[in-house]
Amino acid sequence: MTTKEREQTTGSLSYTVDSDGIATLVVHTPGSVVNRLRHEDYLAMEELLDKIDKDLDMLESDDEIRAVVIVSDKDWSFISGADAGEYLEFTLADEGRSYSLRAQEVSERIEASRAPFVAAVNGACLGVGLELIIACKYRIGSNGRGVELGLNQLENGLIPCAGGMPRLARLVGTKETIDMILTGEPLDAEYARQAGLLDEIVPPELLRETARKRALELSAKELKPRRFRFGGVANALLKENPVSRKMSFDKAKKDIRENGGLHLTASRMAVEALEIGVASFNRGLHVESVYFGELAVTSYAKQLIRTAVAIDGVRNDSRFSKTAGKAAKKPSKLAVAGGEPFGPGIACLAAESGIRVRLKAKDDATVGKSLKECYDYFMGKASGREEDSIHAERKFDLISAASDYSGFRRADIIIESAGEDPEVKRRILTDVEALPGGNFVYVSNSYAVPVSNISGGSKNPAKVIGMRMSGSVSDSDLIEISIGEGTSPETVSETFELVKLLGRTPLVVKDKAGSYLTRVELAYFAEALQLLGEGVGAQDIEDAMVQFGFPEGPLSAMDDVGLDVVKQGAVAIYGHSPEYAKPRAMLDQMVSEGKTGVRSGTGFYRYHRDEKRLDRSVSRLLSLHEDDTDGISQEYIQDRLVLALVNEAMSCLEEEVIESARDGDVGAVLGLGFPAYRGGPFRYVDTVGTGDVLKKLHNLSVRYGTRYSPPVSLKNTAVGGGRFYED
Amino acid sequence: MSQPDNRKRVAIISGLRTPFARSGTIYRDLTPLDLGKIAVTELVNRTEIDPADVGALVFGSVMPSVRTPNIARDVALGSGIPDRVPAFTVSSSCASSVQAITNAVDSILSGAADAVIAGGAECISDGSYLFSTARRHTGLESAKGKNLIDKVSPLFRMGASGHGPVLAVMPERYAGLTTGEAAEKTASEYKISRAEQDGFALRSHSFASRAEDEGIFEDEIIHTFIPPHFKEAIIKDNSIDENASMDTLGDLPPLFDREFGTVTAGNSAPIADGAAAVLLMSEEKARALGYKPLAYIKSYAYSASNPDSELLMSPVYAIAKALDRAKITLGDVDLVEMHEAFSAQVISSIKALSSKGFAKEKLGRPQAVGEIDMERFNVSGGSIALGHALGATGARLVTTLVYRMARRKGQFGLVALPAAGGLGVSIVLEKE
Repeated sequence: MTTKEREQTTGSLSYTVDSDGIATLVVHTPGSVVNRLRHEDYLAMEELLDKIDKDLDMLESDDEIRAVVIVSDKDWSFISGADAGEYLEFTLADEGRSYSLRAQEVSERIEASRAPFVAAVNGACLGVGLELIIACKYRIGSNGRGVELGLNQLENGLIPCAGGMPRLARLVGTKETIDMILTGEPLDAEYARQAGLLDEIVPPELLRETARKRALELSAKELKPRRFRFGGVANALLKENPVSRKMSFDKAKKDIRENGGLHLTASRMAVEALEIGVASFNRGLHVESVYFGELAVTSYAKQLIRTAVAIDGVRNDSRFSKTAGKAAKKPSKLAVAGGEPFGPGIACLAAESGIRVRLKAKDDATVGKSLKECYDYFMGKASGREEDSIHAERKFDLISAASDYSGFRRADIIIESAGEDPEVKRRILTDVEALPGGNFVYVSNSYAVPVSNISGGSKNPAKVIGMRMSGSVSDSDLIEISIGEGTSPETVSETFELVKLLGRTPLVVKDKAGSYLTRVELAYFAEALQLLGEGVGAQDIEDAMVQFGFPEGPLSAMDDVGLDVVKQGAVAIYGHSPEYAKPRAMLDQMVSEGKTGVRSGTGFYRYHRDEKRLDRSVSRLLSLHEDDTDGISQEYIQDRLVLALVNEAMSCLEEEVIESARDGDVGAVLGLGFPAYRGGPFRYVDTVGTGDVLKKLHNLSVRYGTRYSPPVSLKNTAVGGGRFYED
Repeated sequence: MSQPDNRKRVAIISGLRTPFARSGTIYRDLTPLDLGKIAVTELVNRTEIDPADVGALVFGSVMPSVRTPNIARDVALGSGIPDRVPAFTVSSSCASSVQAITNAVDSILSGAADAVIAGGAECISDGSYLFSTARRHTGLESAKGKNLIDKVSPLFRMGASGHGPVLAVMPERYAGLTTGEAAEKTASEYKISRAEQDGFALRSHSFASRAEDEGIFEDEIIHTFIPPHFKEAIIKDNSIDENASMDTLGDLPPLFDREFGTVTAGNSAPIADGAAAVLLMSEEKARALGYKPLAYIKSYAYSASNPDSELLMSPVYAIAKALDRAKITLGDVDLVEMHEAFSAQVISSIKALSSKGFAKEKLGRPQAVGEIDMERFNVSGGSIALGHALGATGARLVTTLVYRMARRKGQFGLVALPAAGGLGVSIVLEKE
């Protein structure tokens, strides 16, 4: 761009027009954090559309603009979707509908514009971002990493609303479109080009230049995009006839009906709107906008959006995040003490983020196992392509391991992940603090050992902090950071940024007799064991909680964590409290039989290859009598378990283990699998009503013991008819 | 290089190597790059050096993989040496990693770098195959073809023969005989009997296996894990034969002269895969960073002799020069590590060193270089037992020597290697 004749700026969008009449429209939402490959920070959709709308009005009235190139100023994000937070304002379906109509109109005008639009996609192009570029005349993607194109609206319980669905079907075919909407899986640049979604792929450095060239050619009618519709001639013939289409739609509907799963209503509506839109474009848009409007005001979608907003708030908490939207400085080296189960997982996460890792395992055999786990993690993800395996090898090269502390001195951060024995943990801290010249933040990763128990013996407790990963490292979205006595704010910030670098959401809590997640999870687990002991069937318990919306039942979740770990946690937190004697005894029995869960191949379930089945021998082992409990309702099981969990969460808030209800909700949703559409334990209480929850807790405590006694704060809140959240 | 006492010295901080393994065995599926990265990554971690303090990385390689012609750069990047640190690969046959070390020494002495990692890697298991010249020409022609017929026809024009691959081997182009044949020739010239050669090989094996039992190699050997299974740590060189005997060695047939020959697979070094790396630093830098060097480079010298008549004798020339430069005599040297390509080569070199005639005739000096005290010679065995990982052997010799020196009182140590093409090199090391 040599000349700059005019400049128009409105919010997220600004454009310059060069002497050739090519307008460059830059998307640059100010102050927004759009992290690479993630889209947790949504751009303001309504704003964006208004602006595009208004800008386009200006553009179209200006006969000097011959073409428009849309670019982004962010490396990792083109347009990452809409700011769904705005949808929370809708109270009437019609508000959502008119919002959708406007978005559709913008797309239509881009498509019909006299000045051809060219999209130069350099990062995440998701949701409405993708819908907009589908309306462009020409789409170029950069071949840099981070380019992904997808329709992810279902994640919020919504459907695409800017006419993108039928347009996408024209481009890439009906079946591919259904898959993209229902799975939400984005395509990478190369795949998108093959599918017909991108016209061209160029190196990132040439992206803008090429886009500008194509815009000129298009406006001079020198370039006609050579594009087979419906994802290519063969595809069109084979799949885009009425019979094949009907088969695709029927199959999708059948899958939704049979597999159920999340976002049932939205999935059904998306498929229906698409089916109509493929048959009749305008009618499809009409249906789409109606459905979108209806979905946007459901409590289901709203709760999902609120959860997404809360997660965003936790990730960018200004108390801990010091980077103000910029990427944090990578630690030059991370050291991990402790082999399986967490050591290799942490090493892989760090290497994935480009951080060099030194791992210490207890002996050569464990070193080998740990290295294999890391190797399999990276190579398993690589396809057969050579560039992929070289990429995987480069990541794996970042990890090295030994059976001693060599290589630890240079680490900026040391993560100890040596299990649940405080003695062992303290010894490791003493050992690494004895290394000459070390200057590191020391993170003690544990399920139930409070960090203050470890940091007591430290030479520098200001740099010691706790951490808790849930389940298997690669599955968990959340990592809890627990502040110990004496942990300095700098250490908290540094750890907070590390967790974000690892691609996980950091939740900062205070460690008082166990971290938030551990306390809440144990309360939930213990209650499941109590129910089991009372004779409720294992399958009934599992079914009830899956029905409630957890991804798996509590017994299955216990197997994942490991019953030995759960047991250690229970001992640490409940001590010898008689109220928990039964669950503790059951755990003891399971562990002493070697039934410790997934890692040992048997726990409440038996694991064989990829299958798992409830283990019938457990009921004999624990002398359970399942026949006592006919007539126990699913609702009763749910109440018992959920209220145990919720009550512990409320106690944590009262004891200031967590800072806010928001933190508690995000923790439970991301860390424990609490259903996102229910928002978390505190949102759940608000939904049920504080008064009702108080009453139920009271009744349960009379019958089952003090663990159900509601915290004082709830009583106070409920009296005034109060809630945890204002909105 | 002459080195007056008042000039700065280069310190050896540490050296490490992977276990050496006969080619085609445990490292079969690896590349020299894999092995090199293991050696350097571990060296960086064990020495706890800040990678930003490393000024350069030099690596030796004899048979480079066509995918990593400058293996040094890939080793550096794969081992966490910062992007901005230059790296280059040197090749000087079996002396390659010694060449890497002396290049590192030069750049430290010249002030170009304060700290340099030098080493070498070889994985003959990853050897390259070539197509015949004719096949390569038709291949190129075919690749340039504009249409299907142009692409296919050159391949048919060539005929059936010549399509097969040819293993890339290194001939001694100008010697007229291979190193093995040269060893035969040397054996007969210096009247070294089969028994004498087998006896030396046996010595190598028994010394190496004793050293292994005593844990002598533990300082230098990296516990190495092999992808994709990483099953168990490799902690030993796999060609040391603790059960070697004159009988087993005597049973082996001669390799190069089937009728009258004396050189066998038993009394020559088996080709091995492996990698080794050392960290070198200026004395001041080492002091500033708080390192206690294992040894210092006192002097070094290269030599080259007629590949036809003296293919394996050149270390003798190099030793004489290096000792002169260090201003010491062979008698001052406490330990010698000489590469054992062939028993015949080692024995003939030892004889030449003590020969007044050789000194007068070839070295132009009145007295013999000196008598080698076998009590101080290759005290942990040598390449005949441990294997010869071409590009890594030189760095292994230096590494083994510095740890051995650290355990003894003596002041000086000497490394010597012959290399293909009639090349030779020797380094004098000193303590404190």
